[in-house]
Amino acid sequence: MENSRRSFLQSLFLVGGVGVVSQAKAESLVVKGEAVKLVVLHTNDVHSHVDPFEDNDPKYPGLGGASRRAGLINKIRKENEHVLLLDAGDIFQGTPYFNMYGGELELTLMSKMGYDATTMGNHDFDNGLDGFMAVNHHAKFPYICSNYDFSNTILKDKTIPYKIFYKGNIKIGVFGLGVELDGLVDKKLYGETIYNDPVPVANKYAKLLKTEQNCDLVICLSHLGYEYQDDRISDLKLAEKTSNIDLIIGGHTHTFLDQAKEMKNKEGKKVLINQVGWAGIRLGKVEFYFDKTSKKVYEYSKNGQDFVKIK
Amino acid sequence: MLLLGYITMFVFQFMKHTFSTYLVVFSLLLILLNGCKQYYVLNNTASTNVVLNEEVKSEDKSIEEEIKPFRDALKASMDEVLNESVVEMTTGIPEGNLGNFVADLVMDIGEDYYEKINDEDEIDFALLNNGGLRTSLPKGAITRGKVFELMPFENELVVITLSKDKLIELFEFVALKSDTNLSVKKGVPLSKEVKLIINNKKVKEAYIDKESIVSREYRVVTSDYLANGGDKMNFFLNPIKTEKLGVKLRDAILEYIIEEKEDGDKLEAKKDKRISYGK
Repeated sequence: MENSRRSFLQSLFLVGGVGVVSQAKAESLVVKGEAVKLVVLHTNDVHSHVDPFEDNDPKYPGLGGASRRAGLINKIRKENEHVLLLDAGDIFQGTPYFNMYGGELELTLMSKMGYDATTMGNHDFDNGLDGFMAVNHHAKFPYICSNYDFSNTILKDKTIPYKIFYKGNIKIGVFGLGVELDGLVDKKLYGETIYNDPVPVANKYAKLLKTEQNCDLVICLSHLGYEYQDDRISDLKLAEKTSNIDLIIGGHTHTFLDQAKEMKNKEGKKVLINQVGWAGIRLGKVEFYFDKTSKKVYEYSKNGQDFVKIK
Repeated sequence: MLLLGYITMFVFQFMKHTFSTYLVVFSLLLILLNGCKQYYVLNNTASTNVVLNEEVKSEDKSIEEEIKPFRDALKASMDEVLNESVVEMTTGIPEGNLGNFVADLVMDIGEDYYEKINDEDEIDFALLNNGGLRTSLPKGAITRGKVFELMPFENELVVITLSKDKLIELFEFVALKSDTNLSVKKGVPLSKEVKLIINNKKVKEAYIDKESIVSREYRVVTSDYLANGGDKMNFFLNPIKTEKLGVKLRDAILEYIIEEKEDGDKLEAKKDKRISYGK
């Protein structure tokens, strides 16, 4: 009688306490059905690099290539039930494929790979809004743009400010931020596109997704750039100035990260920032484990110990 | 939180197990439980970005099939011979026939485009950078692919209006970069309208269309990369006026080479001492 009472109390501790687990333990919880795993795969600044770099390339010999990327994505999809595949812009410009076909092939391949969404990078304006619209029907995934206002352009209603994805019983909200166009892109290319300050826009959509739409995870697709020496807004600054974002998938500065960078947001909560250079040389991968019932994401702690069950 | 729980349980062991103590302990536990997060902590960031190198063996054949017709057509287009060059063209300091060739065609094509947006003013000359000319042109067949190699960047042509003072600064910059001790990449090609005589890294004489530099506005056609201060060409910053021609440098080169072919002309270029050393 006394023993059973005690074990009841101990089980309460187990459920209620913050336990520290290794990724292997988290995987076993997924197998047992106690946790849900979400794999977020992502690219940025692929810049029309359909083929791998030449084998004699001084910097990136033989790296990248759409076919290899697709193969890897297929493999990860086979191993994982819940995969989200995202891109952070600058799909266009960088090889003759874009000059010749205007982006048709890039968008066709991404559609075949099953991309879930992208956002507009500055180079995606390179053939103007007309050029963008001419190939847009090849994209079977949405352009998520939250701070570009296209209402006075031919892109009106062709992009969306956010999207909610459902994976298992997990709800994921995604919104997108673009870089300031003035001084970066020729005005005749972006026309009447209005750029809005990313910070208030990010706070607005992250709050809407996290608190009103009750998303379990909020992802920001950002083409703002990872870090600058001057006071331009960057992903590092965005993380510090906002709330309710869990992951920022970045681009624009072609920053190669080996793994996601951990930052604290405005409220001291954890935000991850990831970016994978450019040209499809790397595939970004961030894995989240959610408690199946509470749908809380298992937090990351760099110096935690393995979870030990109380006996 | 876990520690507090242990303490509570420890205390619990030594208390009389009456119903009221159960209640107290339970209440205490519930308060503690409500105040804590109900999730686990992973012991490191579950993020590893994968390098797409030859170790990734899983190619997608259907993607490969999708690419193939585009790649084949692209290759055919890149291999297309657009014209023939009667000489090999290379960059040089203080001038090279390749720099002269591209600067002259930029002036030529630039004037055509400039007429469409400004029928009052005229361009004085063209300026480029050797560093932006990424390959030599061979004697013989010139393919479209070769032009893409020569100019892989997406730079556009712009016309910059400069004051006399800034123009002098520009010529002084060219003189400084025409030092034979420097890498050829530092050289600054100019179109044939300019005649510049340099002595000891300084401008000795400068003429545009055989006339001396006077106090007026001068118009230079160049790439937007340089116009934005690229290669430290600071004399282009804060100009009197910037006018975009709406044509890429590479497209201007292609246009010229194709036009010459249509006119039955092969490509020619020579050094003509437009930039030279003198006393």
